[in-house]
Amino acid sequence: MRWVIFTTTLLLAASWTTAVLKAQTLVLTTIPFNEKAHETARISGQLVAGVQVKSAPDDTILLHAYIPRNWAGKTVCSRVVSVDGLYEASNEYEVARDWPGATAQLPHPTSQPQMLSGKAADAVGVRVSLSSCENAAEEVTIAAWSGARQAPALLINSFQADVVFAYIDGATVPIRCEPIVMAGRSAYDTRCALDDIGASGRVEVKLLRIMDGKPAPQSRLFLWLP
Amino acid sequence: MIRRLGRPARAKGNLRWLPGLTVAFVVATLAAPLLFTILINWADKRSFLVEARTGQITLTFGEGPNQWRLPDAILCLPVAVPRLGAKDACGAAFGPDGQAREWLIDWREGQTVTLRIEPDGSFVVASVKGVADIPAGARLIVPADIWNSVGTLLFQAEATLGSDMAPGVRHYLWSGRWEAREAGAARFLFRSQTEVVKSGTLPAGARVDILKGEIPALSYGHISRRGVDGPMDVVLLSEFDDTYLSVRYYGVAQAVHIRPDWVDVAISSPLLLAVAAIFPFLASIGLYLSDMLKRTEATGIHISPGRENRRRHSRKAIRRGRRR
Repeated sequence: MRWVIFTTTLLLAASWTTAVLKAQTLVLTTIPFNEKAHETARISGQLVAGVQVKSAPDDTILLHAYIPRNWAGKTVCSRVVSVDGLYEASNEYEVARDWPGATAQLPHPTSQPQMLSGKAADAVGVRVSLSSCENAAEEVTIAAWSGARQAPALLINSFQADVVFAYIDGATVPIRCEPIVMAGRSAYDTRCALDDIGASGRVEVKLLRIMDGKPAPQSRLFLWLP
Repeated sequence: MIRRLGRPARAKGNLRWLPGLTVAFVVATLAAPLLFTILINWADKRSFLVEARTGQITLTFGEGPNQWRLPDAILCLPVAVPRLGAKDACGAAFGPDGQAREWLIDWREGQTVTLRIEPDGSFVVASVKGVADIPAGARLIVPADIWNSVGTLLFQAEATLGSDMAPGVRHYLWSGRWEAREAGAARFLFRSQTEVVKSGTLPAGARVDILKGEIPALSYGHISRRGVDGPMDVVLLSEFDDTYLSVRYYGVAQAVHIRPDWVDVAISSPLLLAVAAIFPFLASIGLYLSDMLKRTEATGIHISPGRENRRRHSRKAIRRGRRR
């Protein structure tokens, strides 16, 4: 089983690397580029703070994401937030009307590179969703960049749940998510590893948080996989 | 005996060291507190004492006895599929491993546990880095009504008090205070005890570590509870080394490091205060004496004759006697 997971992860990483090499660029529509390095922390009101995988060397801040064909002609929101809530960037991009469905580069002309590079893996979460940045992210895709871990993962703000379970595409056995052990964590606290999904396309993800031993209401989102 | 002497010029030779002595006293008066401040700060080591009320503490045990007795504790192991509708103490995300029983635990070096007080008053030992009996991810739960028979738990461990503040945090530091106790080179020479050089309070929600260089320092401490409704009462005394307190507050990018500097030591040291009081006193005695000797030099009055004068006087007296 471990070999299967390992091989799947390698294949996924390899496919990302190949896709990234021939990525097209989306049109950044939020001008000027909207990012803030807060002096005090701000925290997301949403459960999912990041959906990401590693794609590039540590010293580059290049943001890529698999943009499905269904998103052609629509607005995409990229939200980048640091685990301590001190860095936040929310920007919108326009997908071309004739988008074929491929990995795209999302320009991220940051003026705060020190807030993004040189950090521990998953210290910054990226969430690319089909919506304007003012709306809730119900449909997300995996973002690929240097600050993520090798295996794709959901970064969740569980509001200090005992445990978070992620049910992928109606599976009966969920993924048991792990707490993030990182100093100053405020914006998100849990990591759900997606390295053994074995699915592609649009998959349903149900998040079940256990709070004080009891299940909290389920949350649902759709995740696009290449 | 004060006597008028006829030849003051002879006395001048005896008091040639007077200006030097005066200068020495003045220099000593000015330099002594400075020297003591340097000595007190030289190779300083300190120990932090932290007293806190907290809903969470994380311990990585060191060597030495870390023996705990947890009566009627339930071991809960993580489950792959949540047990929806579970009514037992383990809750939906964990499953009980057998019945509640007495646990006699000798924590081994390097094991990490997070201790929490749950909203229902139960005491939870969550294993972060575990062993065969209590694997990582497992929890031992001591129900609230059992706590009174647990008593005090002692530990020798690297400790983190409280947790980072985030939405929904229920296990955090309620309040606390700390003291930095030091003993430098000068203290070692003059006093056998440490001195409190700096102290302060810990606000609710702070996350506190005691560090030594970049690594956590070993602390000796104990955990108790005044009742089952409140948090844990924790007292920590860190190892005696070049330690400092690392306090992380919500909204501040970097942890605040508290390490007493020479100013703190200078203004709080009773030894320095004593030195500062004694040296001016000694200096004023010295200055008084040198002033007296100067006057003698100017007027030719000696408090008592020197050996040479005494010899001369006796010879004169003999001569006078012969003349009579």
